[in-house]
Amino acid sequence: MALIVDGLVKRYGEKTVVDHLGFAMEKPGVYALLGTNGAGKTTSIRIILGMLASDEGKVTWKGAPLDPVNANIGYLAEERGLYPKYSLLDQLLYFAKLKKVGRKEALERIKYWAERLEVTEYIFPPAIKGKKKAKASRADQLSKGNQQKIQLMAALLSDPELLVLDEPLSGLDPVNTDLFKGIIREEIRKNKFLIMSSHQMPVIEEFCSDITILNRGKAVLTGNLNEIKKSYGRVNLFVKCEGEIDRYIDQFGLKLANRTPEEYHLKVQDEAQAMAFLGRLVQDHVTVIRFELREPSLHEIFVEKVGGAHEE
Amino acid sequence: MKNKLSGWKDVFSFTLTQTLKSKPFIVSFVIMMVLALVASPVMSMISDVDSGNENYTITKMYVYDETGYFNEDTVVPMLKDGGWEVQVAQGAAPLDKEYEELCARVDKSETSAVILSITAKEGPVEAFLEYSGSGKIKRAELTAFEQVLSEALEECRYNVLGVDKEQRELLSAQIVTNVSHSDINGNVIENEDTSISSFEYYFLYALVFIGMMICMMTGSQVATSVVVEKSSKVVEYLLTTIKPLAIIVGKVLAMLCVVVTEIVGLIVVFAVSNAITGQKTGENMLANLISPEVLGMLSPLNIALGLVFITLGMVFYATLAGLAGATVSRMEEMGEGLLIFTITMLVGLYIGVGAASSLLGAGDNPFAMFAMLFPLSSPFLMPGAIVIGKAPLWITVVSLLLLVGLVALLFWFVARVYEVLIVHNGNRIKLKQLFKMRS
Repeated sequence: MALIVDGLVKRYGEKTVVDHLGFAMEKPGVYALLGTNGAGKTTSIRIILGMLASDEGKVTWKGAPLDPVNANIGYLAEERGLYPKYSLLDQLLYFAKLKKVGRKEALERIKYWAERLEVTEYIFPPAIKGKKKAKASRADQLSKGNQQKIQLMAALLSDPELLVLDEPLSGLDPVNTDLFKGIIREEIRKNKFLIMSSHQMPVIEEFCSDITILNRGKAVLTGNLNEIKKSYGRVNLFVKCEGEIDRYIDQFGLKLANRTPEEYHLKVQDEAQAMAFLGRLVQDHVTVIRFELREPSLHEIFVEKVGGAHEE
Repeated sequence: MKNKLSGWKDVFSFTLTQTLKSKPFIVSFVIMMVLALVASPVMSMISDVDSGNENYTITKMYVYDETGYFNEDTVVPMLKDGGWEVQVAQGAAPLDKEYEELCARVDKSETSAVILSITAKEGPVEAFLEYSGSGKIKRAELTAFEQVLSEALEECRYNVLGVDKEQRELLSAQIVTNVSHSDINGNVIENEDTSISSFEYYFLYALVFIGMMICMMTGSQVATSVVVEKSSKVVEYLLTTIKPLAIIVGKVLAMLCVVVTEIVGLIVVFAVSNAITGQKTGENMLANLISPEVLGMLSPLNIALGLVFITLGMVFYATLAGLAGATVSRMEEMGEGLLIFTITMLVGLYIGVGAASSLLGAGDNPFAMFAMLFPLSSPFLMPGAIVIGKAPLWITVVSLLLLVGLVALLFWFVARVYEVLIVHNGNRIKLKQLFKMRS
């Protein structure tokens, strides 16, 4: 096992904010930490990164207790942080130095990532006529999205083995979202270990193989995403037909999850019920345009696991 | 411990370079240097105005004397020695109409004249000086004139009374009384006067305030730096690489260097300015400022010991300010968060000032000794106390040990709570919560 998070507990006074959290990453890939706001994701991440001490449990990385000072970890925090008044280049060089990356190497990496993330003009601004050297921008002169790019650069500068991304895509426009996704894919291809926290379920489904859903500090679901989905079975039925099919739905006692002008989203008990329903439509010569039976989405699983408890 | 401090040098160099490059520092540094540069010539100019007598404007004095003491032959030479070439004319009785006319004339046309009325009504001799408010005569000149005149009139009175110089010296000789007590063998036990002179007092007082200002500057800069990192969330990134203790140590030392740079800059610029002014005017303003009594006590060991105290004070107060800064999450709350730092510093300052005053009035006393040993006030008081010889070796050593102990205790406490404090977001952490906290 490369990363083992074993029985983490964190209490603030009487309140337990992380309650016996445990998971492991055997091989490179992306692990998702999911949960509602205040579920304990960020606290768990802070403990894993060694920022906070846990009351119980331990985190081991490659067989030894994880030591952030010596391990090569990249972190993109949920609440982005840059020195507002300092030059971007100065801060990136400082962050690289803290990660023990030499100045020459750091400058090369900053140039590479600046080009990849399309922020070169802010870090290495073109020379202004009559001036020796143009000054790099300050963080407070950048848009929120561009600040996020600089922050991601800081996380990647040391070419980390373990990359922790807390809400990496929040607040990004579609173009920049694709840019970030491309970089995440690249890191996966490089066989990196990633821990990702996000509220965007499609993103998690796109990248993550294993997940933990947290609710009030407790893990309510942990495991491989595909296996979790399989365990629910294929109970989501999407049907698009010519004409009304409401009477068939009533006849079979199917539950209507959602209905758009063109399509029905139905809940079935099992595949056999869905097949019987399809057989009846065909028998009655109803023109079926779409008939898709699939497992529940992560969004649905999340709402099921957390929604009920959340409402309590 | 090594792991906990790993990376402090990087924090130190980054904080130092960024602070030295920052606009607020450059602006305040330039202002201070300009002030230090012009201080010496400006003081020289002011002292020229104060001491110079070429601008004295009183040329005539109308005298009304009902005592019979005034003697022109005695007064005029004495005024001449003081710098005034005064012509004496007969005045009028203050209640006469003629006197009113004289006053009007002095006020309107004879603006360089003064009217002296000497009276003696059942008591001391009183001399009144009147001058034109719209003329060139300055209040400072009148004060100096009044002093010489007073001495001259006293001389006149002695002459009238027929008291010669020898008798006068006898009359004015001080009567000294001594109370002494002796031991069982009849040997007199002498009570030494240990009180400090007013020069020493002002020197001590100034050093207490300078020490406090230095610690205040360092502390507030460290606190600002900590709050900026917390409020901008940079600290979260930093904590994935270094431990909180390394951050605070790097910051405190960097700010210490910044303040030392400012002070050294001030001293160098002032010394250069003083040397140039000295060459032009032939006057050493620095020597005028500090009494030879105090200058004589300065030695390399005294200065070194004083610097050790002030440095430890800076480390203590800057660390305390960093801790106080970490209790808040937003810049707006900084003032509130720094309350503990401000109160602690004020306690140290008041004790230091009180001890300086008590040394002036009562000499060596238990309160002054306490203030020299108390770690909150010793960084402010000890540098001055060492220089003026009020801190014996044993007090210096014990005070130093207590201060080092307090700094170590504070670092131990910071190491315990800073990890939790630095990632805390939300309401300000109160003192009670702080003591309950542990990482």
